[in-house]
Amino acid sequence: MPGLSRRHFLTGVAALAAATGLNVDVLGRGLAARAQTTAQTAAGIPTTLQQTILQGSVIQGSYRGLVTGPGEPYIPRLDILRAAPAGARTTARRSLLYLGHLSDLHVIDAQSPGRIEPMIVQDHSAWGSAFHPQDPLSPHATAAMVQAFSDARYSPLTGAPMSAAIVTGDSADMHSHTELRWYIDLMDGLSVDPAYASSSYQGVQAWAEATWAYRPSDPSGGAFGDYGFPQLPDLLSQAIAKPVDSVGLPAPWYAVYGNHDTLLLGTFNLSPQLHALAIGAQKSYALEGTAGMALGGWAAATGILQQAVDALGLAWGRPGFKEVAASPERYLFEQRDFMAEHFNTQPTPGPVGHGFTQHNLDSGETWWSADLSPNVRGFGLDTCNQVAGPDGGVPEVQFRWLEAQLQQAQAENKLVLIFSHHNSLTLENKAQRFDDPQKLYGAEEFVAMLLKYPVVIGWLNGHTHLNQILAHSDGERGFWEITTASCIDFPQQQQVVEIVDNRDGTLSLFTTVLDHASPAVPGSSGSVADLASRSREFASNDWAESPMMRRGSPLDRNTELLLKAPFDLSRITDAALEKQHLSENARILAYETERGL
Amino acid sequence: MKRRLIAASVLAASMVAVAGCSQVEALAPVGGNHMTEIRYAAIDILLAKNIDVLVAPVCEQDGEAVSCTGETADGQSITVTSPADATDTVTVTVGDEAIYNGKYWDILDDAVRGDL
Repeated sequence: MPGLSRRHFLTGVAALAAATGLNVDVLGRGLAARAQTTAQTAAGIPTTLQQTILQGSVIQGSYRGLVTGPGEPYIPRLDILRAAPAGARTTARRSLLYLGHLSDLHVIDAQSPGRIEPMIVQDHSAWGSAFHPQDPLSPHATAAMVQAFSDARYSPLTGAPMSAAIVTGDSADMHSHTELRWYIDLMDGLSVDPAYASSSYQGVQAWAEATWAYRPSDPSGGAFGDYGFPQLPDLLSQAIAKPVDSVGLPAPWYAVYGNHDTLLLGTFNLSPQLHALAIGAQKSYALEGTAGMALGGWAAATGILQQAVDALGLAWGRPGFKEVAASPERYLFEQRDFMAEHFNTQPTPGPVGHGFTQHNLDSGETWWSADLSPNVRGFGLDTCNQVAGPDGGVPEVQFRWLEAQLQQAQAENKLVLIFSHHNSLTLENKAQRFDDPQKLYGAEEFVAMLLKYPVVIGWLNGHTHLNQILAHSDGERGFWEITTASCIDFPQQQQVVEIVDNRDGTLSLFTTVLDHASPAVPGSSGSVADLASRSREFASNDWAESPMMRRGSPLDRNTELLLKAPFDLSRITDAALEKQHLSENARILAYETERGL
Repeated sequence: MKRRLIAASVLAASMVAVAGCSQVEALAPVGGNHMTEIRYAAIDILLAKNIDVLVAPVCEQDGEAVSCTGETADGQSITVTSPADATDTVTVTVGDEAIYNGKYWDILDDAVRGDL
């Protein structure tokens, strides 16, 4: 197939220069250089193809450090194709789309009074997500992860430029507006300031009374100290000493709802008491305080009198609470606010709304579609249960909308990626309000519907904080379900996914796992990278969250996922692909210029 | 201790009252799914023994028991079982040969330490 002609290249460069604001000569030379260096660039991109991070030896008690391990090559998976792939595909392949996939960032404002950390005293395993020893380092881990995506802005396989990125939910940990703002700003490349409310650290990890928590200045006397968590007297002050800088994602990014963006702790409705607590000046450090005050709002008997008593308690102080600096920015957002906040964003990398449109704001619909490239369409779903519980389902209105959209995509020969927070093992929550009787579809019916449309090639999701890749097939055709790990629990990994035409009637989805851009062994500098590294080390020792299993198997990490092409991919001409890559390369050159990369 | 128990009881009761279902159950940690752990351990051991996999084990859970089936590249069946009365164990069989029978956590720990 003929590629882009010289005339079309020059015309394209002129148009892209106008669009990006770059000088025509600079852009032309940059794009020409990109074309020359693609192969070499790919080999030098830092991913788990080159190096992995493994658990090392015991440092103290049961506490282990982390070490570097060998890189992991791509493993072909043939579960759907059920035949050996042609060897010639490795030299014939061409990239159709290179996509970043982030999920379960769980950005945390650890000093917020709107948290319920002491619940781990009641049952550490059941409430494990209420408190992690690495909570104050969450913005740093997220910024280091954004850096990893920036480092991998060109595909490690083909050198293709990143087309887009998707965030599949659980972005703000505890429904705090501050956390929502921090997440968007970190994706956009702005700095966030963990000391915005107070210049000294105010939280359970700084308070001697909270013996149940990991207290870095003196871990003794509690379970974390007994486990062997280290004494790091400077850690909390380092965590808030400087604004956390982020380089920003290198491609337009899109977002869907997660259960933590819908319900408190991804599970419960927001109580009036917690709304007041979040913006107040009293933070609980004891189970009695949290269960009786923060979570008292769930009691069916809660009435105006109880709320008045609680308000007085907040104003006058209560046993089990300590005073902190109040901030109105910590208000708990409502469901629509999550979408609306995505319109308060930077023009680059965009797009404004990040998948959500004015139609979403007007209608209240929390799902969307977007063309990620001329040949690939993405559908962002909201699978979160609105009533209770962490797991999800597909509401009937979305199910019907999606099926109509898939019929259209099939007719238009668009390759389709589905994005949701929940995966096929966690689409079983049927909790409903009495006044909303619409059916909630579970995984079996949802997968069966997707299998009717061969243009569906991938379903990207998160929720379970682990790497897992499952094949769904009807015996003839199928699609791949790709679940990524989180940015809070070990191994704190995310991934890039590339769709590749093998030019032999098959296509491949390549998945490449990314560690965040930080050393395996943390230093003491207080830099973002060292604090992110410390976060990962803590996470690997956070026994309540079953850290060792979350990496998944090698068949869930760096893989080549093969499929029959759903239509004749030669309809996508080389010239059209080159035009697409030209535009994407120009965008990334502008990103590099703006960030001084 | 008494105050703590009362607080916990109130919390549990309030959750049930509002949702009409046990939210204490809903609080199970994200992931940690036994079926997933068994699948990981089975694949780890298959690859550690250099067995080429055509179809990775597809698992089902029946109560506490997990069973999975898959296929090797040379057409042999893969079966994986973790019985309800010994949930910490897994047996991985290729064709008629059991290639592993033991604690699944040992496999996962060895894998994350690079010792498989």
